[in-house]
Amino acid sequence: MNKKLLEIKNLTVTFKTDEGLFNAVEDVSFHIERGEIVGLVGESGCGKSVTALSILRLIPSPPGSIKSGSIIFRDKDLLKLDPKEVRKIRGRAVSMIFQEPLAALSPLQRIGQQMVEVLQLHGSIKKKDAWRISESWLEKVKISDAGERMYAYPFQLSGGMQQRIMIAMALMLEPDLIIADEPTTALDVTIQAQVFKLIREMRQEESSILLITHDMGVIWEMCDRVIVMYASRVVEEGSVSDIFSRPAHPYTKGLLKSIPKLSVEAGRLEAISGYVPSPFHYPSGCHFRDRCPHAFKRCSEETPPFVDLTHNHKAACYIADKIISNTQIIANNT
Amino acid sequence: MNKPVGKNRILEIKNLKTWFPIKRGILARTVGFVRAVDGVSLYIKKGETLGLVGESGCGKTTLGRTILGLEKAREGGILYDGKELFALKSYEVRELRKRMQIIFQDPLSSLNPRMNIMDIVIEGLVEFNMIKDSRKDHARKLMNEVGLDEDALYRYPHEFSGGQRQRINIARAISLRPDFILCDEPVSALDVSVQAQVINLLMDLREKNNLSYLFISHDLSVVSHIANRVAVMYMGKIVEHGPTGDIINAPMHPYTKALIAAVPVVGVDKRERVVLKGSTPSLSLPPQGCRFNTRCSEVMEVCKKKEPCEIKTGSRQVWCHLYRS
Repeated sequence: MNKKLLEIKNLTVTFKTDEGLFNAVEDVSFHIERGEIVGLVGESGCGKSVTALSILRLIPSPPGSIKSGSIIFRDKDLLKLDPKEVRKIRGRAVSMIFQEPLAALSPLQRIGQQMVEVLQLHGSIKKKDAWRISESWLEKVKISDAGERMYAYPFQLSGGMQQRIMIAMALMLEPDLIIADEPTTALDVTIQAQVFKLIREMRQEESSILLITHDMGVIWEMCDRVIVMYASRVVEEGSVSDIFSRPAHPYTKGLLKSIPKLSVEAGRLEAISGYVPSPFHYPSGCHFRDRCPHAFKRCSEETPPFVDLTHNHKAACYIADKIISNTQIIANNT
Repeated sequence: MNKPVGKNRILEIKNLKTWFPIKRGILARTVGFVRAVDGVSLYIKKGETLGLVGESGCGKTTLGRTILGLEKAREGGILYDGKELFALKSYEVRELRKRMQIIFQDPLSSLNPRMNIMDIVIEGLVEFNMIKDSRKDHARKLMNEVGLDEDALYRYPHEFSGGQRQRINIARAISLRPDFILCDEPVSALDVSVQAQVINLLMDLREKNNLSYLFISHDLSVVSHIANRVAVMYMGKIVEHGPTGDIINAPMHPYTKALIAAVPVVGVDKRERVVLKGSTPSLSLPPQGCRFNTRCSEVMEVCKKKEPCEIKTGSRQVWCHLYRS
């Protein structure tokens, strides 16, 4: 069996707006192995959600369109499937947990109805059985009074409970890949901790997770491997320990340094200068170069290729090996 | 009972209560209250930053808005620089407004989309008739102070990124030379790589102008960088208060402990955390006794009956039955 569950190759997604055409995702490649939790980290607008939506072919078109690339899932190119086949994969083989549970659940249907619908769509199952299975899933995600909650409408539940229901619905069909797009950003910290604990406990051994977040702390906590995106491109990829202790791209390094840490020696933070460019005004060559303290002439001339550093660790920077060698170990510093 | 007011205190809040009525029926009778702020006492010294931490809905924003007079208090008092705020006449309040400013969470919705940046940052100065010479010079100076380009003056809010917009908000807030600024989640809506810049800017301005901040945030790590003292709020009440270092290194209240434990920290052994169970109960029906008793890991019988009173140890205060004075 192929170890790679999902492989994205040279994915480019464009969006057409009144102001013109721009690349939301540009030449993105990465893979997810079976049983692996991969983190996709980046700032708002860097293309991480668009990448995730492309996997499920959920890019709204127009304005969006997948220009090139391939997404190989279990040896099949998802981009070449017809809509009917894609629908079979959604939910069953690849499921998604969205950021806003209230926006993802139907406001007009009771929780039970929505869950039963998922089960019935993907298999011939009697309504009564589907109801029973749904109820047992609510218990599994630790919702008290599961029997009663089946009759509740989403707005009657707290944000944490809604997200638990989303998780139950995403896991119910035992998918191979779960895409979690900022699953806890809308929740309070204490609830966030509960949700992550739940995701970790509930997932099947062999199922993989693609976790999308802007929070490096969450990546550290949850993931095996990390993909860092900046301004539509992947800039670095590596294991969690590589990324946190030996970041090789100036953006990753700057980001890790600038995060406020829970520490007593408060003081100035080491900020990355400048702002995230708009997709219409990406600089030529390396997209990070106008904020990069190390930029030189070549950075503006062409896009830096990936430099392989160690096993599975690579960064798109001309001087990646220099950056890596003069980084003190951040993980041990906190 | 009232303690003497320290001369160096810019703000002192005493037993403040802000309740919102719940109205039902055609006659809109008041059937209950949402006790957003329910007996909070705090102080801020001149040039000092107090961090106010808590989860969404705990009343931290309402507390801030009550201080600025944007919500009406039901009970209690606020002393601003020794003056009782609720006893002031409206023209006196207007004068005080110059000295108290606010920075909101969402930098775009707090800027008028039809005004250019120059008009936005000097609006307060114009309102109070404080510009004798060129408006542009004033605006330019403010732009420099917050690290923005002068040629941005004639552009409009939508043309800027989140971080730049928050700088514009900060420029407007400091335009009247206030001595107190309420920062209500000022960096939560910003990109990660830009948050640090804005925190640094706020710290620089504080030093240059001897500003006092009430820094409201749900993020303890952000607060730990900027605040001298931290107050932790849960369901309308302060549960713990003390110097930032003490709170982070040795939290006393089980809720503070849980809050700190809930933050995923890079470099700390993972997957070994105490996770708080349940979620916050409704503010209109707070639990009997200690409000945290439904989620507390160390709950005792007394917690369900009696509200804990203040336990003072040194410069710290905690409201919890686990401790004896």
